[in-house]
Amino acid sequence: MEPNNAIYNELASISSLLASMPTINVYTVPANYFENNETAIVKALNATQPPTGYFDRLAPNIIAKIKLNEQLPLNTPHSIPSILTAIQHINVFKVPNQYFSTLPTVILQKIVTLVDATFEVLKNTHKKNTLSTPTNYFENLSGQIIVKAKSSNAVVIKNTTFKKWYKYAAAAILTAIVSFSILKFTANTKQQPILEASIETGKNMDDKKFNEAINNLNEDDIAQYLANTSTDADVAIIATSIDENNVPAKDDYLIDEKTLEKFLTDIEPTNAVN
Amino acid sequence: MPLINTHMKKIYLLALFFASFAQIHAQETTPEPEKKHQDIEALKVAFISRELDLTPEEAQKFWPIFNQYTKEVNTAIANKKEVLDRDEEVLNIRKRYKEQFTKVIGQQRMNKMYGAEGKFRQVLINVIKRQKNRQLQNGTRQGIRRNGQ
Repeated sequence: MEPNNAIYNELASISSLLASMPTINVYTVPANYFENNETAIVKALNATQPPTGYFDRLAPNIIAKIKLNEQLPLNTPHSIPSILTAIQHINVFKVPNQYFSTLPTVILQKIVTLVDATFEVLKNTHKKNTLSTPTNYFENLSGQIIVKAKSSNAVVIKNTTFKKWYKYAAAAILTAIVSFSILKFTANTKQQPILEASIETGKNMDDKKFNEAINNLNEDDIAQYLANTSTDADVAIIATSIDENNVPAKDDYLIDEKTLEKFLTDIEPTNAVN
Repeated sequence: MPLINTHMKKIYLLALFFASFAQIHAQETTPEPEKKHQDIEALKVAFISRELDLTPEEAQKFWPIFNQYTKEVNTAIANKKEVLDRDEEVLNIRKRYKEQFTKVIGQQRMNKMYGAEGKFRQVLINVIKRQKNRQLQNGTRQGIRRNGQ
C-alpha cells in the first residue's frame, strides 16, 4: 500500500519521532501458529489432568487425616500458644462473694448519692443568674442587627396578583380624583376667559384695527358672545333688532324689482364706530 | 406594607404626569370659540375706552374694577339658570359696582359706561345685519343672473 503523504506530513508535524519509525507490521505470529494452536492447547490440558483415581481416593484420605488429628493429646505444647497455657485452667469470670445479692442495694445507694449531690448543686445555684449577657449587649444589639441586615441579601417577596391589582386600583382611583378636580377647576376657569389680556389688547387698539376686527367677525361668534354676556333683557332687544319677518319674502322680488333696494334703505346699518 | 409604597408612588406619579400633560395640552390649545370671545371682549374694551375718554391715571384704576365687574357678570349669566334670578343678579352686580365706577370716573361717565355696553351690543347687531344684507344682495344677483340666462 502506498503511504499517504498527507497523513505522513501531518504526523511529522505532530511528532517527528513517530514519523521516523519504520512502517513495518509489529503484530506478526510465527508460521503455522493458528494451525498448531489447537493441538498445543489440548496437550496443555492433558498435562494438567489429576492422577488416575485421584477423586476416588480423596474422601478416604480426608477422613484418615481427621482421625489422625483427634488422636493427638490436648496438652500438646505445640498445639496451644504459650500465652494461653498459663491461664488454660483458671476461671477468669469470677465475681466477689454475694455480688449479685447486694447489687440492687449498691445501685440504689449510688443513685441516692448522685441525686443528693445534684440537689446540693442546684440548691446552691438556683438563685444565681446563669443567663448572663456580655457587657453592653443590648445597647449594641440594634446596631449589630442593622449591620447584619445591610450585609445580608434582602429577600424579595414578590407581590401576588391580588396585591398588584390592589395597588393599580388605588392608583386609578387617586388619578381619577385628581383628574376630576383639575377638570372641575379648568371648567370654572373656562367660563372666565382671560379678560386681562382682552383689556390690554382693547386699550391699545386704534380705529383701523377696530374696524378690521369687527368686520371680520361672523354671525355665529357674535351670537355666541351675546348669549354668554347678555341678560334676557339684553337678548330681548337683540331679538327685535334682527327680526327675520322684516326680511322680504322670496315672492316680493317677483312683484317689485325695487324690493331689495327699499329693504336695504330701511335697515341701512350705522357705522360701527362714529 | 404601607398603602403607598415606592412602586405605587412611581405608578401614580406617571399617571399624574400624563393627566397633567393632557390637561396642559388642552389649555394650550385654546378652543376657537373662546378665542373669538376674547377678541370680541377686546373690541368691547376698545369701544368703551373711546366712549369714556379716560386719562392714564383713570385708566389705571378703572380697568381692574371693570375686569372684576365683567367676570362677576359673566359668572352670574353662566351659572344662574332661572331667567329672573339671572337678570336680578346681574342688575345687583351693576348696582354694586356703580359706586366703585363713580369714584373713579364720576357719575356722568359711569352712566355712559353702562350705556356703552348696550351700544356695543348694538354695534355687533349691526355687523350681523350688514352680513345678512350682503348675503341677500349676493343671493338676489345670482337669482337675477339665472333668470336672465
